[in-house]
Amino acid sequence: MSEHHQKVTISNDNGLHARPAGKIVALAIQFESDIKIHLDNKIADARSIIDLMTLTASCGCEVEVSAIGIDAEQAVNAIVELVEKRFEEQ
Amino acid sequence: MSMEIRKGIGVSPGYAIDEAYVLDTEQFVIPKRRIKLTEVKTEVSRLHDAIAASKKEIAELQSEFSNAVGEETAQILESHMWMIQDRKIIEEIVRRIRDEKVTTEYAVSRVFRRYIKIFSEMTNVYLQHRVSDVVDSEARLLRHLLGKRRQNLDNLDKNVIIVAHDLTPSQTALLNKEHVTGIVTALGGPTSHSAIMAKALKIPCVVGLADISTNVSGGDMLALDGNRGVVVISPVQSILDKFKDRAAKYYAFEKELETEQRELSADTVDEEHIEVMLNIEDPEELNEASAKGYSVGLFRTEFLYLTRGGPLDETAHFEAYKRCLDLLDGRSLVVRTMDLGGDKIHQFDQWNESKEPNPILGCRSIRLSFEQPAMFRIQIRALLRAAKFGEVKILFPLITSLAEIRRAKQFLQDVIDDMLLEGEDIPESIPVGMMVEVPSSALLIDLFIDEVDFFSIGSNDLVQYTLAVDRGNERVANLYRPSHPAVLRLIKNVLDVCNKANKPVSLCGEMAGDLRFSEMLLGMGLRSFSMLPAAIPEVKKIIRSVNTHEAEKLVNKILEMDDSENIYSILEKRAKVVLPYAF
Repeated sequence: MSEHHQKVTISNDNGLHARPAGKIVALAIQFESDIKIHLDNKIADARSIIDLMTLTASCGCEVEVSAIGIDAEQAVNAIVELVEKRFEEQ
Repeated sequence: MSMEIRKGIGVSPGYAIDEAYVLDTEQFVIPKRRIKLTEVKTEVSRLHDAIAASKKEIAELQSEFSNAVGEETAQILESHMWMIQDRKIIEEIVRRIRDEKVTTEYAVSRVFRRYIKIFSEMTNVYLQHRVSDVVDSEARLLRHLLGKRRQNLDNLDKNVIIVAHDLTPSQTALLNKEHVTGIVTALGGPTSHSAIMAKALKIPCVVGLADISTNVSGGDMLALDGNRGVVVISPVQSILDKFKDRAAKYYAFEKELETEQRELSADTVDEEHIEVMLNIEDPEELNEASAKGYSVGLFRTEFLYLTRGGPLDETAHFEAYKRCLDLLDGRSLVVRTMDLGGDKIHQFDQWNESKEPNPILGCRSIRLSFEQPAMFRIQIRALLRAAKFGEVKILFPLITSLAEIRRAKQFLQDVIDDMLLEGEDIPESIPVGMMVEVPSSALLIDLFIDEVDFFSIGSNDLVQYTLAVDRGNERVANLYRPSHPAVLRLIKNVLDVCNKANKPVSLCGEMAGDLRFSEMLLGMGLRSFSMLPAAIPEVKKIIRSVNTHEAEKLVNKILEMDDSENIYSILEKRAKVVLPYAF
């Protein structure tokens, strides 16, 4: 059991809307750890698309990715990488 | 759910207490059925079955679209797939089923409504638009849950209060009037289509309740007060008692008033005879007891088009006019030529392509008739053919210049000439009138005076065009003020010029049927009112209490005032003295 967290800035044009949120969910369910995305004082479950969308994280927002579990570090790294790659949007 | 009291605009009086029927793009009725503790397990498994069925359906769509072009469609389906199995949503639905002991359909609707509300309040416009994904997901789940038990608007089998963002004329046409006891909408003001329709059908109606359709779920109990514009969601017993008491008093008063006023003529205290006529949009309205004995001052023919969903042929037009004349039995019929456009035109599927950025200032009404001469000719021909069966008058809408009224008259003359050549039998002189509903024609009324046989003031559009307020836009609806001094001066000008020239003039907008304005209009010199049948008893009662000399003094005082709000409250106070129960 380990805990890990890292900050990352949302940099795709339209922020965390349906498609990027869906990609986070698709990635998050591959890990054992419980993954959360924090913005200000709001916390979203990375496996819930509705939670992620209602965070209303726009472009330029800094969010924190945190995870607790056996693969916490890998999980956080993977999500941060996805965000940094702008969710592979064109 | 706890009680919530919401204040909107009461546009059609009366009371209703019934379950809500929330109208959306998908028209579901959600039965709010309390469940027993022992049924919780079944309801939860119904939820999981519906989720499984929805997932399967989305997966099928995905494989269907995989080869097709739709990158965007694929993305939408992908997010729907995640949303339908979202664990937060499922947890919340299950919790509601367990804790509140309600059916799965109701719990699904409550939870999705909550999210729909969150999305519609977002400031990020891009995200806000994703509300459609939430709406679609709700509809998909409900479709699977309700299966064949879905109920549609046209086959309601119990009484309901309709809750909608807005009611379109085509939805209205589908309503089973027997089971609709009330209407509540988010959009609209006193002159919106929903309002006019509700009044004509005598269904209590409250409009202008922003986001009401996301706050109410199908099956929620509602208490509606169309007089005060109040809607109570999940009312407690004491509120229900109060509503029932008020309703009983109000309906008793209305009934008494109607009986009392039916036989009396509309004469003022100083014995001025006032003409009271009807606004109708369906010939069968003339069959109603409340319509008996009156002429028609405005037949809105556009609703002939809207209920049929498109242009009519000559026979269909002719039959509608002939039917009116038969029912009128010698009394006159003013037919306004097609006034489609603005808020109504988008109903026409086949004309959808010509969507305009600014329809209210666009190609509507007489302009559309000129643009579509074949369609215009059909209506005029039918009118001329019907004319020999009674007293028909033709009214042209939205005239803004002399050139336009001359063009409309020329069009009419050309059709007459053609028909005479065909050997058709047409009465010698059919009176022709024009609507005064834009500031230009109200200001230039002296120039129009010799062009037509009569005028009809369309106060709804006159207010809208004078104050630059789209009456259907809830964000500016509060700026829509018939008591605005600019509007009053324009109306006064029209009446002064017409009365001096002895030219018949009537007023057919909502103001004519609003008892607050009756005394003022009489004081300005109006002697002919055209209104919905339902408004007649109250307005007649006011007319019979007015002394026109007193009314003139009132007008002099009002015309010196500069604030529409103050003017309105003075007028309301005076009407209240005569008809306290109407408010």
